[in-house]
Amino acid sequence: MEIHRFCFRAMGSPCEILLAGMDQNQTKGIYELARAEIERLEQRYSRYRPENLLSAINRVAQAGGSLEVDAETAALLDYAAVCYRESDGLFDITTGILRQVWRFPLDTLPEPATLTGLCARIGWDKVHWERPRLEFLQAGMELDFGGIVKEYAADRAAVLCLEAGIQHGLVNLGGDLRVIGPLPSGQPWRVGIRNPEQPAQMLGWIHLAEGAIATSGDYLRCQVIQGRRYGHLLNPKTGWPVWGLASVSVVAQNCLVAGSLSTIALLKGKRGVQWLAELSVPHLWIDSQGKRGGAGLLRSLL
Amino acid sequence: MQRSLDRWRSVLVAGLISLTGCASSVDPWERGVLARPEMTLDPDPLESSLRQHVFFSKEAIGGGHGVGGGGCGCN
Amino acid sequence: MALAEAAVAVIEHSEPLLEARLDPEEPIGPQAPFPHPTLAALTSAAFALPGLATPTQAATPEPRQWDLGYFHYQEHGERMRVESLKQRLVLPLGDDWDLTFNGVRDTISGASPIYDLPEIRCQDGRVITPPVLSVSGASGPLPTNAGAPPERPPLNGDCRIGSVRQVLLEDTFQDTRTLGDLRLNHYRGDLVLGLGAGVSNEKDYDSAFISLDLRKTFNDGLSTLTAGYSLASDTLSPLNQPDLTEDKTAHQFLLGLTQVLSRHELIQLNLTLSDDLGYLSDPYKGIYVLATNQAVAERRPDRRQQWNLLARYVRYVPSFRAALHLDYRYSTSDWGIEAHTLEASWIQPLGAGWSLTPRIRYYSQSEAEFYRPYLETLPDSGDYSSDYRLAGFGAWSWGLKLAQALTDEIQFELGAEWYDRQSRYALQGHSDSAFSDYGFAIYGLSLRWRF
Repeated sequence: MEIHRFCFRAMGSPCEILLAGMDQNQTKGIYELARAEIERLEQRYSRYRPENLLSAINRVAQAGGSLEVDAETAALLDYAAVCYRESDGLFDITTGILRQVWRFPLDTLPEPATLTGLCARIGWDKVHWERPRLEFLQAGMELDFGGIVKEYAADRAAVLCLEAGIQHGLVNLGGDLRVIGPLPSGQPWRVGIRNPEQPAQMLGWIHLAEGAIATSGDYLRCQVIQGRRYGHLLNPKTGWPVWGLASVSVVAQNCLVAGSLSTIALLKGKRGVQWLAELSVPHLWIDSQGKRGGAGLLRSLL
Repeated sequence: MQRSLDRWRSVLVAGLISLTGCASSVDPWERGVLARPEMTLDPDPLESSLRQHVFFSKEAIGGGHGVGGGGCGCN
Repeated sequence: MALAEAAVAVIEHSEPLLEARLDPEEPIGPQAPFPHPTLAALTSAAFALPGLATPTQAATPEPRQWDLGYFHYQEHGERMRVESLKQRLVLPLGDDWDLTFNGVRDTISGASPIYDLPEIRCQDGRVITPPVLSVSGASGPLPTNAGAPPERPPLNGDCRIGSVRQVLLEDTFQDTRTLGDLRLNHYRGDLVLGLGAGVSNEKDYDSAFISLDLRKTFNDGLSTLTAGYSLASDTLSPLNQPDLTEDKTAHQFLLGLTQVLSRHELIQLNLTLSDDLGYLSDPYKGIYVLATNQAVAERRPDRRQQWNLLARYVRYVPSFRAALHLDYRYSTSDWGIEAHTLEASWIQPLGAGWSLTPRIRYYSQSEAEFYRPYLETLPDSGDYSSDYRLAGFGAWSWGLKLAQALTDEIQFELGAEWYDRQSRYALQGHSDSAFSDYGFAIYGLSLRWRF
């Protein structure tokens, strides 16, 4: 049975959707539906689109004050609140303003005083969230749905395809991958995991019949200054890049959860290793020295 | 007869409870193996229906796999 | 935040089915029966997002498939043989329906046992085969010693029944059986409704049947509950008794549960009740009566209730990349028959599309309350049958099947199975029926086409 592959760019990443089990016309229609949903989410929540929903929220965040949000944003905020709670405050959607100083490539390291000043304007605890009203208790804040929206978009696209009757396929948004259903033969998809240290190389292959895999890492956006590596993933409490793990992949039922778990593990640094083991989810970690560990179906990549 | 019926009923009910109660959860992405053709309960329906028909006509007991199917002069 | 665009991106989808490295059989980490609170919290928060809850993994119509098979059944000696041609066609009809059509054509020939004749041995060395003055039914073998007076010594201390032998209905008849049935499945979310109907015709036996079953999946797709009912209405018009027409009705009720136990195991439990009413005797079977030297028609009760509890277990064995199937069936019937059936098969992929399936089966039944190899005198009432299938016996059978998937669409199968019935193999206590021991073989050749 033919597998139709659609490649496109969205959310700043190369993306692909693979669909099988229907004829070309039906498949194309369903792909367009999924693609439109991804674009809708990107339009609403991208930091780079002016005059979108997020920029409207951030105008209020900048000035301080409150606004009412729609149901979808409310659900994303609820989800972000759970991430904040479960990560002991490490996964924080208000961390974005730190990018004002951590702008790669870095010329110099930011002044500690600058970071302290910014950190005062960071923290989900400085936001009062009670559906549907979102109130910024402090001015000069900023929300950023990175780490949530791309993963959510992959899941949404997959669910749309399922609802349209697709039983075989997958959605891959720049490495955030969600399986719609196994191959028409019932066999799992063979998904190659690139070596984050040397992207041209493969670490190996895993097999996914359902579920999702997401990877967080700082290989692509990091810099070594005076022998020390600085990544783009920032600790909201200190304002400094987190250190310890370089890449974490997690397999979960949906891409959103897989993405959050991998991000939280990375934010936890070395403690993330123990935390992942306690969660007993299939995972793979690579630390800054290149050491690897993992469990479940990703252990084959060690 | 009635007694043995009751006995079976209680065995089945106990079985249902213990099966659904103790089975650890198997997440969807782990079910790939169970989706293999050889892991289905009846991987070869043509052959199994023939075998069941033969055993049914040569033994006093038959069936148990499902409902349906007709009688024949073979038994 | 964390975007590793290049970390996971290569997808292949046209791997050969049996390539060794395709098997995701690395043991998974410890599987907690309950997820970690963080995982549970994130998962439930994720599902609260609009449009993220996956539509329940509903059962869907079967893919198009056509199976065609030729089977040759041969009993040892010059006994019965059956040539069977079978086909099974599965057609999905839209998103919510599928249709299965089964067709069978059996050609039956050869001899089969009709009654058992005792032999009398005396201490003085005489061996006397009692005469057979008449046999019920027109097409039975001609009585031996017709017209001669019944002459045999009394069965006392000097003379007793020494052995018993089967008398066969010679290879005089050939019959064909034609069966056609349709089964329609309707898929509706986690529910599947199945409706079936069919007919089967032989020269002397017609059957019409309908069935209804309902399957419901629950517990996140891990459990399936099945309930079913079928009704068969049969008419017999035995060739050896042209004036006789008899009816039989068979009800079957089924309750089943299929449960995924782990990522490698599943189990099914089926409880079925069969309730047969009407003419349940075999019109071709007789029983020998010593007192009158006649083989008279057998007589069975006009109702039979039978319970089956079937447990089927399937397990994947990662180190061999094989599937193990274990079946156990406990059966009990109000004719006094209790039976155990144990079956195991091992589906072993060999690479390059080949697979080999060895199989072994053991069956044991106790005898029916009214089973007698022969009668001393004909009782005024009650039931009696010397049908070897109602005796106590056990049977071992073993088989082998070789399959070759030429492509994803086409597969050939070649199989053989040998069956050995022995009175002494039975687990339960029973009267000896070693004179009925026999065996048979089944050879099969089939083709499967997914199109």
